[in-house]
Amino acid sequence: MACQLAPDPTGTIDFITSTGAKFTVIVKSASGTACIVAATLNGTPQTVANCQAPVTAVAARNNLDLALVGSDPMEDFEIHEDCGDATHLMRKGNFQNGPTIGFRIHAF
Amino acid sequence: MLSNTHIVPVTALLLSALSPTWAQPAVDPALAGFRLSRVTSPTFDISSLVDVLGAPQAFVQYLRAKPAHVAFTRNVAFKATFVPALKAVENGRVDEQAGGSATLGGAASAAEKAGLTGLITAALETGAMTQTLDQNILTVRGNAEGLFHFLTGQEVLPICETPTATSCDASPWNNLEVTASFDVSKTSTTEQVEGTVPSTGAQLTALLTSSKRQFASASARYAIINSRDLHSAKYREAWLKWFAANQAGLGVAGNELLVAVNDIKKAVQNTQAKDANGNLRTVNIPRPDGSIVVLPVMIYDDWLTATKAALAGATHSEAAVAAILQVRLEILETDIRELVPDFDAKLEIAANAYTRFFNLTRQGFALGNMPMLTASLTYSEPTLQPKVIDGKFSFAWSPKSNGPVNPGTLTVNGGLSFYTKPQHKDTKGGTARFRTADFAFQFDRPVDANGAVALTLGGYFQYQNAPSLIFIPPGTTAPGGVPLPGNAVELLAPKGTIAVAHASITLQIPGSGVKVPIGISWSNRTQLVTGNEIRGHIGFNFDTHSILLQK
Repeated sequence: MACQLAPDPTGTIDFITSTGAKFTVIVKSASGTACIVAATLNGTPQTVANCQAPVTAVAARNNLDLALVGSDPMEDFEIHEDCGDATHLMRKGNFQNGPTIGFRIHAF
Repeated sequence: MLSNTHIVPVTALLLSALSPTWAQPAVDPALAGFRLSRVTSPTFDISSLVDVLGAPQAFVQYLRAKPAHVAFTRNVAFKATFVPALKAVENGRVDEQAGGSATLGGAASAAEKAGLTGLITAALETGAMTQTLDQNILTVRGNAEGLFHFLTGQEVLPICETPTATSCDASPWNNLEVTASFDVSKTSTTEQVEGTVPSTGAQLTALLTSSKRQFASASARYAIINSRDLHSAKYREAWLKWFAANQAGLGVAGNELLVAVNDIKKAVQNTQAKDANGNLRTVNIPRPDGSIVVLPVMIYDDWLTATKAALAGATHSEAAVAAILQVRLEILETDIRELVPDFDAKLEIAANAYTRFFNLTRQGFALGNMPMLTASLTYSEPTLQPKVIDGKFSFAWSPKSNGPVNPGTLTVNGGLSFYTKPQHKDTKGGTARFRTADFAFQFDRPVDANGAVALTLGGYFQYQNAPSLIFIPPGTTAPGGVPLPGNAVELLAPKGTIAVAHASITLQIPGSGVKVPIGISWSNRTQLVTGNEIRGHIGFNFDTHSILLQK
């Protein structure tokens, strides 16, 4: 399974992808307890299971937001796209900056 | 009493450490959520602050503190706020020992707390609690596992990628702390001591002063029950069990939060920006196959690009970054208010959603408030007294919380101390190794919601099995400045129970790892001298582990 998200070379948004592309977002942390508990795409709740958020990109703008929990309120975490045999780092964060993190993705 | 010789160096150290904070112009408190103190680190990436809607908590906090919105919240009588709740979690721990024990020549707490350092903690404290001579004591504490990882170039906080992975689990060495204390005073206070010479029974009065920097004590502490360590396998196991039972509720609260936040930001994220001529803004993106696609640029995309550019030239100064960020945030707020007519109401819905989410997650963090038990063994060389070994247990317990996560911690100590060699205990030639039995208690409680101030009340009791022994060095003078004749002599101080009452406040600079305990104690006597004493105590504690956690 290849990675579906590519960084926007112009830096205007976070990632670009193809309309209909399916990708899964996961979280990693030092304690191993960080978990995605909720996800919305353009404000619509998505199914989350096993701390993973599977997403299907819709045409044009995809505002993906994640709600996270973890056992340590000061811990760093990393949001990755699960690409099968590898993962692709999307962004680093810390629970001190809040329990949600959002991405701006455009599908062509 | 706290003498000038102690106050001056400690105060100078405090001022030099705190002056960077004081010297900076005041930053708008509304920006507190952005934790701008981080920008003073040369390695901090200032551009990481820019995506304020990507991690919107700080922006929501900022907007709610604005005068226009404060007027709105007053009207709707909104009282709950999520920020104090989170701050309480971050800063609420009051169970970690930084300085030395109450029996050293400089101390800032009556009881020795049960919590261990995660890496290295240094504390400089002045004001003796039970000792007769006031000294400045530097105490350095190190966690065995944290130090080993640090010195061998390993991650101090190793990574686990899944909840079931064990590579990040702490080893038993994580429960071991080693400590060394040094008297760093050039001279101590001078105290008049009276006692009996054990070999002759003669009464002697002398003016006692310590005039050399010396080793004071070394100890090893082991946490027998260490469930408060957020990196311990036991806490993680308990948290995962709690999480499994509450995952559905967290999902519901998480969705409510995301929807509420999205209602604030979706307008600027989905409305295309216009240039000065009123044309819709776009940007061309080259694809790997050489083709070009046209990306519509939204208002928030445009704002982000401009804000990154504005901050690109900012120096690593809190005031400089705050000044730029505040201007940019006002522009974004104006953009949002133009597109969202009921913006204030939506902001309150988001704040309520944050509160509900944190109310749930706090229950998990509260699992860290379990009892803790630490055993310690200390070798000490009290000034002008025989060498001593102390064994002690420290127990910490926090009452259940209905509000902030850590409502306070009660610490209880019990211990015995022995001379390393039998020492004279009377004028009849009797000797003893057993020296004292000690009991101490202390209650520490965060006073404010941010955990920046903590109040401490404590008491210390010491039963003396035999009179304390004093070494009177040659050249010591009697009151009036008359040198005592002869060589060094031993002196038996009057025997008695020591009782100490202690109160202090500890000021914490959030995110800096710096704590400053300031206190006062009353004692019925000190180790070598009878009579009431009231003394001031001040300390300066620095915890490197806090810095690692404040990335």
